[in-house]
Amino acid sequence: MNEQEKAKRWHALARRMVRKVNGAWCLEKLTPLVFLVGLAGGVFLVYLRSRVPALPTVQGWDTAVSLVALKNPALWISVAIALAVATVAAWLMARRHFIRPEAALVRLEDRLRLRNALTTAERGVGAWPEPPDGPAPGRDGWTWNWPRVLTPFLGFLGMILSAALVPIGGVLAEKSPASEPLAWGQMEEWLETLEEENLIDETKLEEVLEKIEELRARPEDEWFSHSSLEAGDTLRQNLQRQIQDLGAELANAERDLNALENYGDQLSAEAREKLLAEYEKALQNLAIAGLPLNPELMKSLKGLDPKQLAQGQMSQLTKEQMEQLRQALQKGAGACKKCNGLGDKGEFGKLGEGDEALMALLHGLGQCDKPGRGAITRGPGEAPLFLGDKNDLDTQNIQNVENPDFSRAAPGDVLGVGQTEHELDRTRVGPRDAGAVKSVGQGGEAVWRESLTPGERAVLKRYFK
Amino acid sequence: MPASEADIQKHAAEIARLKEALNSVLFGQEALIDLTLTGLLARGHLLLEGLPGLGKTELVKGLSKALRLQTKRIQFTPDLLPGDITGNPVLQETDSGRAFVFQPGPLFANLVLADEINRASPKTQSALLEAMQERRVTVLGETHELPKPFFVLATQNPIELEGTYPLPEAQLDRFLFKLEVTRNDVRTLEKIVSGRELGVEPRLDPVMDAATLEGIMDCVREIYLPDVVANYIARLVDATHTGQSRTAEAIKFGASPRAALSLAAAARARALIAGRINASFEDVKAVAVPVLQHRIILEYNARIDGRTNRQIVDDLLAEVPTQALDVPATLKATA
Repeated sequence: MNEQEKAKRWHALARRMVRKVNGAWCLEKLTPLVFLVGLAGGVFLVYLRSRVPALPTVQGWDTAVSLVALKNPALWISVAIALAVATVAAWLMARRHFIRPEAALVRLEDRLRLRNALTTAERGVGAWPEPPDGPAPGRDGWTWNWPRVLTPFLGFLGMILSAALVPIGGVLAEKSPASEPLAWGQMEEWLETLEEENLIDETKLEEVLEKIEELRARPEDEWFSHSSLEAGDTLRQNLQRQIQDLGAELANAERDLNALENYGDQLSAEAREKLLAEYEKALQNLAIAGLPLNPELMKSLKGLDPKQLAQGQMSQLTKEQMEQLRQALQKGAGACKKCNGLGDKGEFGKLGEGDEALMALLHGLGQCDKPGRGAITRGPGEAPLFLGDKNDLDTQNIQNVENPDFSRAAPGDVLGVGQTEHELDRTRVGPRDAGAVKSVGQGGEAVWRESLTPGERAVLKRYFK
Repeated sequence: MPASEADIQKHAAEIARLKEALNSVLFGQEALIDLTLTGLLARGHLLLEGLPGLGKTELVKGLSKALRLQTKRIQFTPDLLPGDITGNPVLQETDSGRAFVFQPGPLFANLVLADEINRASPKTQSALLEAMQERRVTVLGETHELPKPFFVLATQNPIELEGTYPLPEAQLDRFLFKLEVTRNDVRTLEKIVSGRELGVEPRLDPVMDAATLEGIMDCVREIYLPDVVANYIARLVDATHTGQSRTAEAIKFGASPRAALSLAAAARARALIAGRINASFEDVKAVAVPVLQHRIILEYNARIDGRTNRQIVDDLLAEVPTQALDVPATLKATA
């Protein structure tokens, strides 16, 4: 083999190594980009599958097959373009690391222990050494790091396939029905309760239900719009207020009937007149209430003459009918309380707080369980157990704790405050002759000069151990 | 213009004969002889360090005989004066009357053995070191060229250091190599006992003369030093400085540019001895320890840790790659 052939052979080996190293650099820069393209492509694919009906949204191999079959070429073309751009970017980034054939020759001569004969021959100074026979994969001393090379590409495929196979269609099919504003259901519950008690006129109930259905008939997307929520809340507030009013009036009527029936003969004429007036007023309010009372119940109440009750007469109603009427009023008031979240176990037949006129009337009869108001014969009643406002525990008033006895001062206590000046070293320091300074320094400076670094200290400790 | 292959082979053969001659009188010191010849061919001065009786003087004597060079030996003592080694002007009666005539000192020889150089005062050491650097001496304003070739082989004893004057770093830098002369093994000792007799100098025939040696040394300069090898030398020397390598954490002061020049010259000389036309990474590695070990000053921590200059240079050789080549993580090195 002559010199030219040897040179040709060595150059071929060098070029092979150059291709390997430069290719490795390209892969080094490309692999993270491939991973990113896979990630972006996967996200894009999932987005497309969830948004575009033309793309398959059913789970399973049908999706993969349809995708692999290039039914959606735009997606694959965009991924291919992204990969091509990534490759160009990787090449641009890797270019500054590329080696030249001269460097490959140096690597070869170093690995083959040729004592720089190749570099020398390349410069035309010496002769080319004999090239090795045949290919030798490990001649350059490098081998491919396959896990590092393949992992990003496998990740790319994994992300694209995952995005193609993830069961998005299944998720959509099993999506739970849209929830509706709470106020609607609440109103329906109230109306159902009132209907069960047969307390309200049915036409009025149907009227409210129709309004709720009107709201529900709007598109689901608009259920939680501002206007829809405001309309529902307004309707609920109106209904709640009407139910509250109805309950209060029913309770008043029942209480008045109870007082007139059971204590009518013990009341003074003035008190009886007041009760009768209250009863009449409750009936009037029931008649004009937003939620009209059941016509039959209203008719029974109107047919009752409270004056006869007060005089101990049953008028046209028997005692049992009277009891049924009172129970109907009690149940109606209970249903209204239940609707308002107050429970239906209120004690009817007793007077409520705030009904001051009735309380004053009945004080003389011993029917009130509250402290008295101080009549001449009764005294002030039981004394209250709490003086002042029981909700105000005086927690807003902050008082300082002082300890004037300094002999018992705790650590951290301030014993005194004074004014003083900083201690300054006012010694004049001027230029000194070289070599005249013999001091090793003061304070921190001396420590710095005469101390050892932590590394030196560790070495000394180890040495004298 | 690089030397021709034939010249190099011829010189390599001559050096091989010289080595063979020296090995015949100095047993078991092949590595020392190799490095000594390398240093001589690189026109460097050598500092030999070792215990007494290990053959340092014998090596110099052998060299002088084999090379047919004029040899002088100076035993350095604390009261030795510069004039004692450089020479002094002496008042003499001449035809034209009395005049000062320069009487050359022992430095005027081809091969000077400066025995126990660290026992002389710094003034005398400086006079010797100036002569080593300039290859001439100046006495009373008159400059006298030293003979060519001119080599100094200085020795120093690593024990009994009381009353000595260790060479400062600037003067150590003048020596191309610092060689450690080690003791012989049993087999070599047995050979010495059987082949040599106390007080009788071995016979050694001359192998070459000074002119031939000069020719070989000129040829050393023509050995090709590839750019990549020069780059390796530069990176190696640069790595001795703080912050330039991990090993340099143990180095207080690194090597000078003269160290880089010395490495190149020694690598060339070693290539010629091996009969090669070019110096290589291997040549640089082979001479790195003797060239660099006396040119770096270790940190306090490293000294207390018991690390030696030789170990630090070995660490540097292991750390600095021959080729500054970035390798991607997609490739991994094989054994």
